[in-house]
Amino acid sequence: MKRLLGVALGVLTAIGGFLDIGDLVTNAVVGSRFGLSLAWVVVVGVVGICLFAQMSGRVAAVSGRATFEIIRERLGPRAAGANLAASFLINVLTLTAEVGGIALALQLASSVEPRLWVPVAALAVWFVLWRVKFSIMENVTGLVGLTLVVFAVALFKLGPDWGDLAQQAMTLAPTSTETWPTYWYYAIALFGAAMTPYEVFFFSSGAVEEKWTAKDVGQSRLNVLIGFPFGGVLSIAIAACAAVVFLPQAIEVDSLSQIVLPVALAGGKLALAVVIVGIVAATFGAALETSLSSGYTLAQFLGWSWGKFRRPTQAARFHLTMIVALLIGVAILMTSVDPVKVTEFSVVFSAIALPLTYLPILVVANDPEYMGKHVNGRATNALAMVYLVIILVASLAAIPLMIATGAGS
Amino acid sequence: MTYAQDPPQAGRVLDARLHLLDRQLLDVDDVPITTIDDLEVLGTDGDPDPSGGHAVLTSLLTGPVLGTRLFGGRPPSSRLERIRWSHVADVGTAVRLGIHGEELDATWVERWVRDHIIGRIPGGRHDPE
Amino acid sequence: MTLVRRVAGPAAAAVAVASLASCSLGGATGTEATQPLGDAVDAASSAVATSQLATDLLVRHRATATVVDTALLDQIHVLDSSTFALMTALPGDPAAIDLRGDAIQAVADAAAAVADARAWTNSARTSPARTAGVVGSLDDSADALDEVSAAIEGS
Repeated sequence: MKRLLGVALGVLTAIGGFLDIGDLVTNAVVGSRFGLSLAWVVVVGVVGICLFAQMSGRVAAVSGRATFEIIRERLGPRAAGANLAASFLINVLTLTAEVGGIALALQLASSVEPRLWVPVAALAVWFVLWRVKFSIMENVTGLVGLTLVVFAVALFKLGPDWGDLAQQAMTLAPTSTETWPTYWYYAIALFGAAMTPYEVFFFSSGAVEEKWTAKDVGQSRLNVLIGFPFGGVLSIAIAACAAVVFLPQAIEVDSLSQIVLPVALAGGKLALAVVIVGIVAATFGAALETSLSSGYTLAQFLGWSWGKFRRPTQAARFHLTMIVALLIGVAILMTSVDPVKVTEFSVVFSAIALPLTYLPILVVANDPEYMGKHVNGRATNALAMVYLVIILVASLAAIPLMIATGAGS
Repeated sequence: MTYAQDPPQAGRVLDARLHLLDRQLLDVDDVPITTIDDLEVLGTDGDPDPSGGHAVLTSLLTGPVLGTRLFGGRPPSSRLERIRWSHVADVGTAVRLGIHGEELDATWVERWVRDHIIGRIPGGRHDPE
Repeated sequence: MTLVRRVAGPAAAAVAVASLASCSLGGATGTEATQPLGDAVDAASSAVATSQLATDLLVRHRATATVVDTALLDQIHVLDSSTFALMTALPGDPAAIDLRGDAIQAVADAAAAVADARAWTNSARTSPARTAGVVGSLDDSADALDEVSAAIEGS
């Protein structure tokens, strides 16, 4: 019974933890402009993140070494250093977007301008990093984030024409008012949002934090393989809500306040309150994960003592890194930059950096010195190679498409 | 400059580049100390020593020496942060020392950050709850 | 066959260059000239539609005042950038200049309507007449923007 509860908890946390500000914004924007014609990208992205998240979890559980330690050891200081610089920058950009997301969600609840919420949100994130145990932090934000299931409920209550939605999902082409380059640009953004690289750093380091061993691999696989697809379903539900309410009226989504309107339309004030709580939890959880990831990557590259299972004084530089990353995020947000814009850029830059993260993991997962008999099977490797090609194409196409479409405008 | 010669160690043959460079260094309690940024070898690299001796690995290096591996160059010997090879107890997927990291000069940055910044923030010395 | 292929290469390149050139020169003829105007008016229409949805939710007690207030504030930002885009556009011919004037007027009226709606959202007591007025002027702005949009497309 206790074991079953443990499994259920892991799966539920994975669902709640899947969504972050990038998924929320990108899916709503895409839904309002392209209907469900890009839903297939979410499916592709979810399969990819499942594949690589369970791979990195397995590497960490079996070898006891986290991703960036191994990247440095296998690639040497130069290549790994370049990788670190890119990953760290994108991590901070994503962290900025998440803290901005918390502030925007709190604005929805209070009408107080987000710039006043930013320091409060960052301080709260820091406090949790400073004092709260890893498992509690993970479970609470994951479970509360599960309330975003209200998007799926709202979709049913909106009573859409399901045939029409299915028709949209089957039409793999832009709507009449959009062009092919923008279609592909948003495809890459959605892909980047689903496969955000910080998930992998977080997942592998989390396995070390929770002292996983080879026998925990099964549980982790279950969490990922059930939890993430459900998270993907929620992503599509967000896009579908936008497609049902906004697409017919030609409303362009560019703010968080619009994203919650379909939920209010379907479920009234109660649903609205639930969705705001869900967004705060999802962005807060992701802010924790990205702050930790910035600490993890730098500490693992340089071999510092790291981890939330240690007291802050026993991982001093690790904690200092997270504090600095948060301060940079706050500083960026205090320039009154629109957090939604930061989010849109962060998901595209994530897509650009994907090969940097995923290639080394694949290499290490095939290394018998680390993995023993737990090296990748043939099927996993075959699928991983397919994804490597997709990731590479997306990464190379992202910047030309960004320029050609004026970042999707 | 003189080094106390470490007693010859019995056992396995190590490829310094493969098994030591860029590996995680842990102390006796498994606390991470650093990544091994470079090695200090006494005697000649590669060429046979004219006196007929072997090259001897004396220290693991850390700190600013990483910069020279990224950008080239060579730091002055006085600026190297050394961890004596004689402290090493085991070489596996990570390299383990037989002593506490606290005792090493090379961990001064961590100690400085702890004593001057992190340790001064309330709650920093307690376990997370 | 080879001949056709040989000719097709340079021809395609010439077309590509020509289309690039017309893009970069912008504002020259027909729909190209009014494209920025159309985009700005579409963004304004989207803002007004969002405001209508938000105020309607408040009228029907389906959304809290804080959410509607934030939504309207965000749309005021959108209208602001629409106005900026319209004012900095360089319409080529006299007809487009007139259209631009109409568009600026329609967006300004819409901004006033949304700003008024936001004031209504934040006022403690509102009469049914006041509510009707707010909803009515949003509807009027939506219609006005539709008209301008149609005129731009027709030009």
